[in-house]
Amino acid sequence: MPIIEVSNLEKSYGSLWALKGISFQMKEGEIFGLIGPNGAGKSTTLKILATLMPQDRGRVEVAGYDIIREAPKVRKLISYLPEEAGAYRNLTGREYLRFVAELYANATGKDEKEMFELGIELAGLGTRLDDKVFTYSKGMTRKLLLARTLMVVPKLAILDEPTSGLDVMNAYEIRERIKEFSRERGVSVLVSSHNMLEVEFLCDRVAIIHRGIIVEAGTPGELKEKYNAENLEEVFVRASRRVSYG
Amino acid sequence: MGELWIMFRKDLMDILRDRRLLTAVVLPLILIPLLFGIIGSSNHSTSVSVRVIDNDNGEYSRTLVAFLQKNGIEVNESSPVTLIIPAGFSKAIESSTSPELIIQVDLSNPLDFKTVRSAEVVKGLVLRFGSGVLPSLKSKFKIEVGGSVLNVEPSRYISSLLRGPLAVPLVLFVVAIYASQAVAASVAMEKESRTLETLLTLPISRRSIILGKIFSSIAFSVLVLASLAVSFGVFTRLSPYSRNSGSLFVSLAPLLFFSVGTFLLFILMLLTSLLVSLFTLDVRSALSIAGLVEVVYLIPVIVLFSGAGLSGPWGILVKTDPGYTPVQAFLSAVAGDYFMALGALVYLVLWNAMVLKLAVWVFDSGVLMTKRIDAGHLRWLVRIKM
Repeated sequence: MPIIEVSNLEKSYGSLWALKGISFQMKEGEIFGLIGPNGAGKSTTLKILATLMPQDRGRVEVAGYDIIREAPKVRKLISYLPEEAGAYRNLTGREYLRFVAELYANATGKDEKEMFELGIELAGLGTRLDDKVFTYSKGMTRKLLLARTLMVVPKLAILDEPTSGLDVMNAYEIRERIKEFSRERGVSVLVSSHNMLEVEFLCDRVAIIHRGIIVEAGTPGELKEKYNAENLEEVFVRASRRVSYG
Repeated sequence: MGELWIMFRKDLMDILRDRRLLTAVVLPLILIPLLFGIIGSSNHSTSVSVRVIDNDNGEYSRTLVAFLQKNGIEVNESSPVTLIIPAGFSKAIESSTSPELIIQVDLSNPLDFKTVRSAEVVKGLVLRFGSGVLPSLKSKFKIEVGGSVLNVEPSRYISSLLRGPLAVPLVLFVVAIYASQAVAASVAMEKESRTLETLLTLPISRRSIILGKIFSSIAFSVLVLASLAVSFGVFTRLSPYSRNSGSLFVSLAPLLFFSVGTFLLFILMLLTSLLVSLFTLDVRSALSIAGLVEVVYLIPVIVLFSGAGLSGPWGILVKTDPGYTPVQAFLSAVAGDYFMALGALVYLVLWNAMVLKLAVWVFDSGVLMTKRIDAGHLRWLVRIKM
């Protein structure tokens, strides 16, 4: 059974159609990338999958559960990292991780201590975990949030632009962590990015989304071969042009 | 450990550590004196009548009555305010001793502030008359309500009520003001630090999120109230007006209706503050919006305390405001109309249910992701609070 099944998904903001009927499937344990420029509809897709907002039309299932009718069940299986997320500024990093571990332990019956200790390890912030979050740099906050997302070992991790706004070192470290974690724990990861090289490094399969439509999908190798391109960036440009100019 | 407890603990910790919430502490210190300032300044806004019992029938008693009439006081036999001029009043003035007048006030119910206000106007004019004739002229007050007699000045009546039978609703109301600020700030802090999106995808029910914020805000407010109570206690000990001047007896049933009504209004204020603050972008906007919510629910209280009449379209509007409902429940219970009193409480329960349902719908519908209230133009409210 696929971990995600999306069919004919449509969503509008007033008169603007952000998604115009997209469909895709994601297999369990894979890292799937949604790539596209800003405003393509990536974040909207991820928000719908994370049960933050309902779609206008179409069907979305996570692990066989309908995301509208069975949202509470879906929330036990997923863990979401928004693009511009923050943590509670008045709590310490440690308190924040404990809060999330307690909630998941309460809802899913997983071992709270185990999740908490994994969070500490994934964050890699050492003694700074005992400082309040408002003293953290952007990179440190992002590491804490990624640790929070992954420590609960979800069936599906949804990561919206996980390395957005980070310097090269921090971005590299986070990408490594995501890939390693997914391989070790078998966690399915849906990642969105407009950084094609990042997606090429991370993902088993990708879907290129442009103006609310999926214009291509496949493994990075397949797509590069199909478009006779050296990297995903070239694939994206050629696939988008094909849609724009027919 | 339940999800509500986890949420409550996190929210309380977050609120208690936020320095910006000090504005919420400052608000009642400004709002309450402002309320009483409005009451004080509305002395001359009501038409005043007085019943005169002139046991003296001398030159000065007639001059006093004429003075009152000249200043717009209507002498009316059915007025609830009675001025009793004792025999020998004129002689006492002529011999420069200290004559004493009695102003007797018969209240239709404990919240008949219109009559209290009339008595205060009469007292002011009597003292003005005295300053022109005999500065040592004194007036003594007797306020009668529901079989109790209070020997307090009208200006002290409200505080004697609040120290006595209305203490519980008052405490609830003060807590509500603090708590609605705290809950608005708590929601806004989620938005400001961009944690709300994540929170809404965690495995916790919307109801627990809402109630966790409500309960932690109440806990915060109780802490603030405790510190206020200590300072207020010290103030009243030092105050020259803290002497005992009789106590007002109000039967249990109306008080119970009033307290339950105030509690329901309290929850409604919190839910409304939470709901509107969901759409604000930062803590300051949220505090401004919560301030507006408080004002909306405070309007009936301000109108009532000012002694203004509640007739015409304006009266209907005030009476439909949920802020008036505890008063309606109380007055109906005082008049023995328990069916009406219960109806008033049901009205508040329905308001609470509607706002809670709306808040849960807002969380579920996704409008939080797309709709915003720009409360920038309401910043003046925050400045006033500061």
